[in-house]
Amino acid sequence: MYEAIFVEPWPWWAGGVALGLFTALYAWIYNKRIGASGAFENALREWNRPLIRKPEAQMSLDEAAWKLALDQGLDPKALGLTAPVAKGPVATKEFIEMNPRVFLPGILVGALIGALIAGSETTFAPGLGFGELFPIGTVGQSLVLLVGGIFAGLGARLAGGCPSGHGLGGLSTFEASSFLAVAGYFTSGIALTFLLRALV
Amino acid sequence: MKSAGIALVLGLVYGWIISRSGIAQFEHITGMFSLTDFHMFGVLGVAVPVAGLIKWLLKGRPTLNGEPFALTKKVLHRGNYIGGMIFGAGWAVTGACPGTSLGQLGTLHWGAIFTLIGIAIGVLLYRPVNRHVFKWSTDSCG
Repeated sequence: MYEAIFVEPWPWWAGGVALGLFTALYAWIYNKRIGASGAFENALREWNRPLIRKPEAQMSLDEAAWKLALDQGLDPKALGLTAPVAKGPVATKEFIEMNPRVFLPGILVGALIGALIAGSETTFAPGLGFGELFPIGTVGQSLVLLVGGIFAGLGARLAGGCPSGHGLGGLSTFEASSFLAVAGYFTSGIALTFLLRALV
Repeated sequence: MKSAGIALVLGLVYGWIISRSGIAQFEHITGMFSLTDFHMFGVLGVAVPVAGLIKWLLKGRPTLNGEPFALTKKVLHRGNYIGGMIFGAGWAVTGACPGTSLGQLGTLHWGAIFTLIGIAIGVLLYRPVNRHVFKWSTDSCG
């Protein structure tokens, strides 16, 4: 049992169940679709992003207009605004936002712990078959990974998500944009892989 | 602090799942794209309905924050497909996406440091490239 969970690679169905549960848990905690590529950009670009959503952000248009009128010293009733309906405790609660500066390093450390427990070997290549597909030495391979990374990062943001966001998050709720993005991944991924295999 | 603690635990769990499930292993990605390895299709084929079913059951119920759980949809635009194609090329050669590149480095595939640098450059290029070249009204992920 210990070996199967902590040492051996999981069978596909076990990985699927774990990732499915994780995707749903993430969505439930943040009320937001899971996503790694957006988290990446936020971690790098928006250092001052507030991590607690203030209740104001949760106000309805009615509530916001009402508050604005009061703030301006006007009578909201005289302006014909609808009185906001009191929502109970929700309106006074603060909301936790995902913290990408902790989440992303967490992924790295979590994977490292998993690999150390399992006794994984240290390699340059990201897995088997990489060296065979790119028999061009370590410097060339580093360049392939660097340029591939730029494509992956830029493409994921343009597509509005990576396989975490679109593949797991969006497909599970039948989002049209996710089907389109996943179709995009496979169009170029299959074409490029067949091309590279034909070349070597 | 609460925000950081939850994000840390989620990150650790996600990283550990990545390290055990093989979704960051190059052989599974390249095998998926050459249609010779069933692993990734199997993982996604189980994960998507499991996540979908739970989300559907949770719909409207209170989340951790106490607000009703909503299944908000992302904006549909041309970039979904074209950006997806750019992404797919990167995924095919590195075996990594933004999340799993961290998993690759964590699972002691140290070449992934180059992939990570590339992804960092790529996500930072997104805003200027979209502003000047594509001009799509894209939506952020995460």
